[in-house]
Amino acid sequence: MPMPHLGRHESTRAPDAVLARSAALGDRDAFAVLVARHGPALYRYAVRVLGDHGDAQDVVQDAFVAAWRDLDRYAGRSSVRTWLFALTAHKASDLRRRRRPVPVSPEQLQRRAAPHDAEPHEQATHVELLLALDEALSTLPVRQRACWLLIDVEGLTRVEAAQVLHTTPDVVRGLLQRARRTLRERMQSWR
Amino acid sequence: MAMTPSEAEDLLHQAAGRLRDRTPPAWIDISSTVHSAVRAATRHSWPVLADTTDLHPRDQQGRVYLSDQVIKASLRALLDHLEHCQPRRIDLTLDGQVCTGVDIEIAAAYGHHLPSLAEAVRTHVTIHLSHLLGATAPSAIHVRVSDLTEHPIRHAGRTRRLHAP
Repeated sequence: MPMPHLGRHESTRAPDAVLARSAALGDRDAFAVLVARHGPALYRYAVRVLGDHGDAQDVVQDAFVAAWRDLDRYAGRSSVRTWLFALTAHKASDLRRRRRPVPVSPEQLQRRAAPHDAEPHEQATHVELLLALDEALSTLPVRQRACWLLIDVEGLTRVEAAQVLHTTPDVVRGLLQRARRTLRERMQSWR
Repeated sequence: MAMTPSEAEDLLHQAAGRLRDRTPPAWIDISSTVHSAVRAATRHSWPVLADTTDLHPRDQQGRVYLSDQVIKASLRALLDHLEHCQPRRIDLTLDGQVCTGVDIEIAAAYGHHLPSLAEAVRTHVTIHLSHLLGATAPSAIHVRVSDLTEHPIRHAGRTRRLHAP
């Protein structure tokens, strides 16, 4: 029976590249650490690009399964995180092409932003802020929304965001500028 | 009173931070489903012929095949437990269903005599493959040291001393 490549304690601290190499050689424990480490960010991105929890779950799950199957072909030209975002963006784009457009309802937006365990008094302002942000985001064209999420929320560089979205850094810069301007305008009316 | 553009920018920055710092509550609900789907996923694999005629010399009818993924995982487990090295890449060369060669890339701990280390790895792999594949085990085993690590390589379990067996 194959033994784990890295001890559990070491795995949780190991860099992404080390975990990806171990996972490529069949180490499922190492891959589970990558899922736990990057899953929340990929889900956060997918749910705001797709506007639906179920679709976001499917997309993130498919992206991780594809990553597991293709890891031995991952050449390391981009970081593991960027590669995972690219897989997720590709799956999300496929799904958007297949489905009919459905407007996001205010209830969906509220469910998306509201924390399950929020204390009303302590969290109310934060929840309202995130609700306002989600409403503003939902008015952006999807590529502007994706650029803003990848760069201003997830901290990717313009070059990395361009790799994720299969475009150029110059195009990303333009999309990001327009997204920031629109979001600023929308947020000005908050409160 | 409406916010100034600068205040709106600060607020946007603050909202982005809140979004980033919070694990999406729904992720906590679905992560086990995602982990299960990944655990159930299989990789594309190729059958590799194992010669078991030494075990069953009179039975020429049956053949045993091992998945190339199983062979790679088995080699990883072997290399994980050898001292001073860590597997980085394992590639099998196949001619139809016969494995004709193995290329292994390792990281080695700094300060060791690399040719001896690589030769010891090669010897362990050769013996391991002969146990797995019998007479069809490949003789072309190539070991490449592609990286040096400054710190001693730690392993999950007990390690096997790395000298030629």
